[in-house]
Amino acid sequence: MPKESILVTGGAGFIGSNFVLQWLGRAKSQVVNFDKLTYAGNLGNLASVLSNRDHKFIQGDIGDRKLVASILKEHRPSAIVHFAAESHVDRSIHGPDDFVKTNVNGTFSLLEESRSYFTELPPDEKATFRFLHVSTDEVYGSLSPSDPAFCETTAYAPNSPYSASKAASDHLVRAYFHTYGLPVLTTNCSNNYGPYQFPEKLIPLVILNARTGKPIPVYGDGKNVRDWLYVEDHCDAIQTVLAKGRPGETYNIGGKNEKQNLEIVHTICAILDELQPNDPVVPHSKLISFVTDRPGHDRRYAIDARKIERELGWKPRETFESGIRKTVEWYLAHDEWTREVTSGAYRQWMATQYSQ
Amino acid sequence: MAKYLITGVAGFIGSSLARAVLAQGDDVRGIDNLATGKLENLDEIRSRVDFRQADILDLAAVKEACAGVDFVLHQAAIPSVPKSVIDPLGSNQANVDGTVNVLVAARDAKVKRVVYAASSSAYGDTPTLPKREDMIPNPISPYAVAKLASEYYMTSFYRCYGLETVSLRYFNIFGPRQDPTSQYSGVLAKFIRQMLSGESPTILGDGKQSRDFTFIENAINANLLACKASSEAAGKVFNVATGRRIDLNETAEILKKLTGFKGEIKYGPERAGDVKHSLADLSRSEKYLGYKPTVAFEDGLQRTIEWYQTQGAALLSHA
Repeated sequence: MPKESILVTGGAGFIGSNFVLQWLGRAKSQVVNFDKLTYAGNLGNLASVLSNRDHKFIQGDIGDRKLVASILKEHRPSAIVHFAAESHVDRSIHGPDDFVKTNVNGTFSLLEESRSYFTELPPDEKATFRFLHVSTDEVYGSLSPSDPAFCETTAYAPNSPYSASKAASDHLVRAYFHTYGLPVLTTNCSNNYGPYQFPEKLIPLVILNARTGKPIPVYGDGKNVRDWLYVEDHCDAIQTVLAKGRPGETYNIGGKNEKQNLEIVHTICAILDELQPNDPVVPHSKLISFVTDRPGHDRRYAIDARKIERELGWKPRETFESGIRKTVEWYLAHDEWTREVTSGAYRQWMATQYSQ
Repeated sequence: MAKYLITGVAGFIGSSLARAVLAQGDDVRGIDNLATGKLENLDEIRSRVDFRQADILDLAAVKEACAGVDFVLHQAAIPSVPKSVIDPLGSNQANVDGTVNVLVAARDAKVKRVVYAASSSAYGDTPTLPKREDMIPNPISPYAVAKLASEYYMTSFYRCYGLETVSLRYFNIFGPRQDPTSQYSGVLAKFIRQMLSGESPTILGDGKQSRDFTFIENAINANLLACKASSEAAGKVFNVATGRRIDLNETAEILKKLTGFKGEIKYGPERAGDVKHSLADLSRSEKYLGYKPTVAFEDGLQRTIEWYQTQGAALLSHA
């Protein structure tokens, strides 16, 4: 009887690799890890499991239907956890093409192949099979300071090409449940942070620039609000939804940490002042530099994640204070990883993005 | 063939333990969250270790790791006294909660024995030397408290659940693979790195503070002995040290001789939470575990310096 396995798409990315590591760390089952290895995918994240017998890595595109079909046929996964996506809002503003291709068409292809695969499963496997679609709270749009937080029934109102493409993918996933009975689960999470995050994102970007005495770019007035979710908490929540969630349902996942961007930056600077007093510029907050705001920048996200707590008994373990410290310390201890990801194309991208 | 679980297996002490256990013909499973541990520390034994990248705060992962295990060598922690002064919450979480997770998992998996990496910092700054295990503990820093609290948990799990545990109070362990690159690195690793790179090391205080520096091989032997010792050792605490004390000024002189460093030693302000003098009494460890230090301080330093000059050369160029 071959060991059970799950298929993870995008498992070499930031969140995906954290999920794969956590899953294998808990020795839950085998993982077939399917990733295109775009700029955001990094096998370095998976160094500790590349020679693990329970981890099989396959490079490829979720839009490659032949390949996806053969993977499903060969490995017969009991679940598909779908992380693969283009995820950086700023990139979607400069070039929405990839976002529609990967997030909309790619998800569609995956759904189609999953549907064929699911249809052929014997009844007992059909009953336990799950397709978990990882999505974002950005599909709900932006909130004013007094609006209630997004809950699962909040109307979708995406504002960027990124969030629109994710919203579209969510709709397709939902349709496959209602029309074809594919047992889907959707999760919409708030902003992740933590080990292995690609340094184009705010938190690692602040850490890296602060350490090297480079300006810390803050969009607009720095008062945009996000809820911050430690990546390991997010992965743990996804595991919980996968194990206990009801097919057809969506679950918001949040960190209970609504903070303004400027506050995040100051917190990181304060931790760095303590841990790295010999950096080129101290206090690190001197490097804060306000830059031209992102077009259509969502002002505030706030997530109501009481459903997952109520129905599945899940809540985050980290507070922002505990998570951010772990994160800063992780980046400080992983210079080599950082050097490897920041070489190449990433550098050209950064120049166009953060203008004064 | 026995199965060992080493928590913190990618760290300095954990990776050395892994090599020793494999050398004695036993199996090694290891867990490490790679926050401070490095996979490189396991380089040539990587394929022989059942490695899981996971955090001891992840109880499900720890439980899985304990399945079928005979001995747990629990090294995983957030090390460093000064770091705990900066972040007592993080230190408590990793060092205490993490340890209780390991104990619960080991208990449920009916592990034969858990050996814990405790710390000489339990003795604090009382003037009496040498430190004997029956002295009243006096932990100063949050790190020292966390390590001591964990010792009490070790004893408690023996008394309440019959899980055999042994706590080893490490006295300033040094040796190959000790990380010299962080602000919190052990003083010997730091000084060796600096001197081999031609940089002046800084002694914090007047240099008259002393330590019972202990070469890693002695700590490894203590762990292996702790696993084999009779049940009389269970629930107890034992010093692991060389049984000899040396101050930092003298240490610096010896290091200069061994590394060929010709520059000057700098002095800086004392560090909060630091203990002035440390020296272990080893009679109890000898009585219950049959422990005797086999590698002396200068020999250990010699071997350590040779390691940094060869295999550890990459670490020397890191600022």
